[in-house]
Amino acid sequence: MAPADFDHLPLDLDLADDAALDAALDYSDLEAQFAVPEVDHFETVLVVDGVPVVDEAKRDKLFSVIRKQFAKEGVRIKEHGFDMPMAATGKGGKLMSKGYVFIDFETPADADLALKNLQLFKFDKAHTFFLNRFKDVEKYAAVPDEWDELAAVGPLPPFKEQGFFRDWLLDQAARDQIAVFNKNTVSLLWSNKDKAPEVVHEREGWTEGYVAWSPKGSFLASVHRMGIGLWGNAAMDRLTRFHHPGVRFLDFSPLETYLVTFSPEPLPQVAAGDTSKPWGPESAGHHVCIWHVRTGRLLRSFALTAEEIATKNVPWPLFKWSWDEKYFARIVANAKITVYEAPAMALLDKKSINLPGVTEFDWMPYTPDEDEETAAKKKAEEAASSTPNTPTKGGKGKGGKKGAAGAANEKRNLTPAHVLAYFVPQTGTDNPAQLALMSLPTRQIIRQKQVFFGLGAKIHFHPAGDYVLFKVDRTNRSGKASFVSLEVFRLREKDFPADSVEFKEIITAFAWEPTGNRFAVVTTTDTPNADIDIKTVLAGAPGKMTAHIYEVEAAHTEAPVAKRGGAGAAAAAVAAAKTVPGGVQLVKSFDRRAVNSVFWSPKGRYVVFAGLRNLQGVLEFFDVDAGLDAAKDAAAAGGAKVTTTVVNGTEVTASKSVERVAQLANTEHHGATDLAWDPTGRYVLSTVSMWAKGADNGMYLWDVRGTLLNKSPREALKQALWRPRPPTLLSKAKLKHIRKNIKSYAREFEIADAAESSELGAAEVERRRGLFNDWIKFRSQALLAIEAVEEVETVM
Amino acid sequence: MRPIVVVAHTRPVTRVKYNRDGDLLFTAGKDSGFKVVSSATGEMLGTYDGHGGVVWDIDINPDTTRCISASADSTARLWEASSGKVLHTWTSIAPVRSVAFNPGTADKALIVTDKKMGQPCTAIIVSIKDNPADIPEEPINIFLPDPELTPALIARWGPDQTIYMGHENGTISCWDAMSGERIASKKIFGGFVTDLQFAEDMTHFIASSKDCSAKILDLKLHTIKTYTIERPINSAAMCPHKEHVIVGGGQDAANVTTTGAKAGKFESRFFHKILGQEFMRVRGHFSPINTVAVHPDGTSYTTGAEEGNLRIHHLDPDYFKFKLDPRDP
Repeated sequence: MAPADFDHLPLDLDLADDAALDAALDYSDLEAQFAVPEVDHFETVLVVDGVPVVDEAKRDKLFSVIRKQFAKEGVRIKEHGFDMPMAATGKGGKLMSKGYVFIDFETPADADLALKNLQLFKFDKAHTFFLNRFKDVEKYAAVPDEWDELAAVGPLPPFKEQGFFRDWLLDQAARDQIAVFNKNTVSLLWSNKDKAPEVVHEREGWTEGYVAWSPKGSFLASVHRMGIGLWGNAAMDRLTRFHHPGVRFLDFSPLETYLVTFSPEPLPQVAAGDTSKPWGPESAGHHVCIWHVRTGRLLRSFALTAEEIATKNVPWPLFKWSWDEKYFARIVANAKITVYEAPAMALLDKKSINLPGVTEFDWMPYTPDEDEETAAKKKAEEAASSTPNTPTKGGKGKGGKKGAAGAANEKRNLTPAHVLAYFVPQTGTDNPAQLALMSLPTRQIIRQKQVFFGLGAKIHFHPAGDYVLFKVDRTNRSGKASFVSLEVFRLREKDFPADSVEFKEIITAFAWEPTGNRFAVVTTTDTPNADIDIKTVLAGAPGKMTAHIYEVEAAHTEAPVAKRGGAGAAAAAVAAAKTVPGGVQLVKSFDRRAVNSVFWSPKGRYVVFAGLRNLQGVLEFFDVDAGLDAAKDAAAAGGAKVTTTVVNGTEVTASKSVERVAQLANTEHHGATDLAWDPTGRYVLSTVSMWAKGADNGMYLWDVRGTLLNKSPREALKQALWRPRPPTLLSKAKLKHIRKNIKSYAREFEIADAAESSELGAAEVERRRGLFNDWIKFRSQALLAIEAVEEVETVM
Repeated sequence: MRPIVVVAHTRPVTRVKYNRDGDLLFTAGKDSGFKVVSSATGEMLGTYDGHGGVVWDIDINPDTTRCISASADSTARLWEASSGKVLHTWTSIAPVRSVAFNPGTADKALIVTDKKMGQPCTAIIVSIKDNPADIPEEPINIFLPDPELTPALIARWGPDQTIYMGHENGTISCWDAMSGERIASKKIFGGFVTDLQFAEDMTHFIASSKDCSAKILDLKLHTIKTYTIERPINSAAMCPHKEHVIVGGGQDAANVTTTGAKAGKFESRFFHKILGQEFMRVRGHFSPINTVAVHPDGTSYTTGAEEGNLRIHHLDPDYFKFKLDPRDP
């Protein structure tokens, strides 16, 4: 009953009966008002543990030493403030102390100070003090030995079905999704090949800032004033909220377990014990939070350095994660790399890696070797399946040979699983720049290279971890001429051999082929000067840009080429197997282009050079292995077309005249500002966003050949993001099998495509018939109406 | 298709019109010029000199004996088509925006003045006589379109003595020419109405607007079809014999200097009239297309643009063979 709520008093209450009145009235408000606060009489008392065990004689000496030591910290103890229990445990029933002492301090403030400053106080070599409040001893002693979870944390909340996070992968047509943010609306669309995208979900005000996909596509994050919202499953329900006021940036860890958020606003102070906010008092003033994605719990918050706060220049992502989320790290004040362990969130080995001057670092991507056990199992299966079919010796031999070849092609990890690459620029004239690979947690440098006059660098790991490339900005000794060198380390070869390519031009774009051994570079002949600043140079000028494709060749042994007849036969026979050291070679350059960026297909082989923003949307599609196919086709045609002739001892094959790199299309999406391959490497989406251009906002979908498939105009387009896909679950062997039998797999889809297009045709024919009928009806009625008017007039 | 480019005006072209026979092409511009060229070759045949301001609108009577013009010099003039002589001048106190002979007989003309110089937008119906001396000074009828409709930018005769006007706020209105009564009005567009052209059989008309759309409306102002592009539309025309619609426009003239020729989309764009599907674009102008006219036989069309040029396009045989749908004529 609420206080002073007389309306609910029983009507037959006898006001003279005090007992009945007391039972009926609620005095809780009065009780609260006049409650006497419980005084803690022991607030000046601490229990100090870890004190030397002494006898009666040394007792006062001990007290005076403690009093002196504590006084050094400004902590005062009452005159007779010591109370040390003694027991007759010594030799011959001698009274000995028990190793702890009760100390009564002058004031509660003294006790607090002692608790803060003298905790873990090293009294001498063998004795460290542990301080506890007198009251806490009782509290801790009362903790039951058996862990009772129900009593401690309460009953578990009932299980809530969260749905299937990978629903979109079950699409029959294996389509991909795009999240589109335009005006105030976020739409989730199916990307269609032959028709406009189909809306899956469309919500106005889904986000206040922008949207982002998690790296494997399970979650869509929306950014709001109060924090981050996370959406997923088939219905795109809200799964979790992360309360971080003023949040600006977000970054998922690679396996989607953690979420890092940044807000320019420091986290506000909260009182201890206040559970209304996800952070505690220790997080006040911090800017960066790391969250557990599934539970929405804050795991740890981080402060920024004073310089970062002052300059408002926070590199993002602030933390870089190792491939397995085991570690995350950042550079602090160009002086050290701090590596933390997940999920403990603690500094690795409790200390940072000191690297004065360090400017860049990155983690190596890593794919574990296929487990020995599964490999053995597979081998057994293969043997079992091949035995009945190929019982002959020849068959066995063939199989064995194939296996050996497979092993040779197999990429083996020579590096430890966790490797950091970092760059320290040149200081002074004598300390060259350092490029290094460091293994963790051992902190051992596994490869190092010095580069003279390297002033800055970007680190580009090959997405499969096969190579690492440092793009180093350098000058000559005088500091007048600047150039760029690309330092490539081959990580799948012994000792990680390094190669270097130098460019006098400015590099505007760089990208590794995700599954191959090639990389693409875009350079410009423009240089910044009084008229052109570096930004303009990087944006590019038409006709000044050159697109290059390079290849990294592994060291290998080349078998002598078998030559048929001709004058060079004898010489060839003499030539022994040649060892090729490997290195970086230019495959092809395309100069005088209007492109400033490069995008490889996620599956490799195809590459798009694009002239985005300033360059008005030129799109150039290339096939880097066109020559390979042509040669294969020629071979399939019976080898008749591949004629080998020997000219002056060098072999010239006609098939070489087929260009290895072929341009598939040179097209344009006028004003394009962004471009992205879909996660399967089938399509390319080019967009014109409102951030760069006021008109013609929208998206074009292209296939790998640069054929325009469809256009979808979107007013005020802000974002168009492909939904990422998780890595395939198929084994390498299975993938190989599919690649080999692609035609039989493709047939199924071709039939489906044909069926769909005919269905589309039927619907379209029906729609058109309707439109024509409506029009004819309208015309005949309109004509009748006019005739009627004319008739009336003639009658009149 | 190789267009004939006619450098007709030193300032933007405001209106091009074919005569009924289709052998002549009349053109008016902001340079006060009013000219006639051969529609087959683009050869300049003559000029109608006299206006002292922008010529906004022109019309030709069905037997091509007379022309009428509207000018910002506050006059509307009746010309002898063959000689270029002024037969009659109507003087107003405000710029004249639209003129039109009434369909069929051309014994009346509609003159609409702009809301300028303190004058309201006014519609004047005048009588035209065979002998210019007989033309009475007194008009047949004068009426003021209601001010809430905003000024009329274009006015055309409909069937049965009606007049259709397109207004600044996107309204289309319909009036009785003789009584001056408003028969209907409706807000159709979100911006200036830029053009209004009737079909040959007068059962419907096409109107275009700065709001980037063109619409086919019936006489009761019901929207029958809509064609949308990404740029303001300055003119829209319907092709006779073929179910096609041509719209022209482009980036606003005010913003042209900041956009490239490609970004401006100064193209004539062909839509299938019934299916509403775009099937062809013709580039060439380097500024917004202000006016589009189709030859009465549908064999060619002409566009006039902000840069002052006309482009006469004689359509290829392929165009006539092309069918977007088997039901196409």
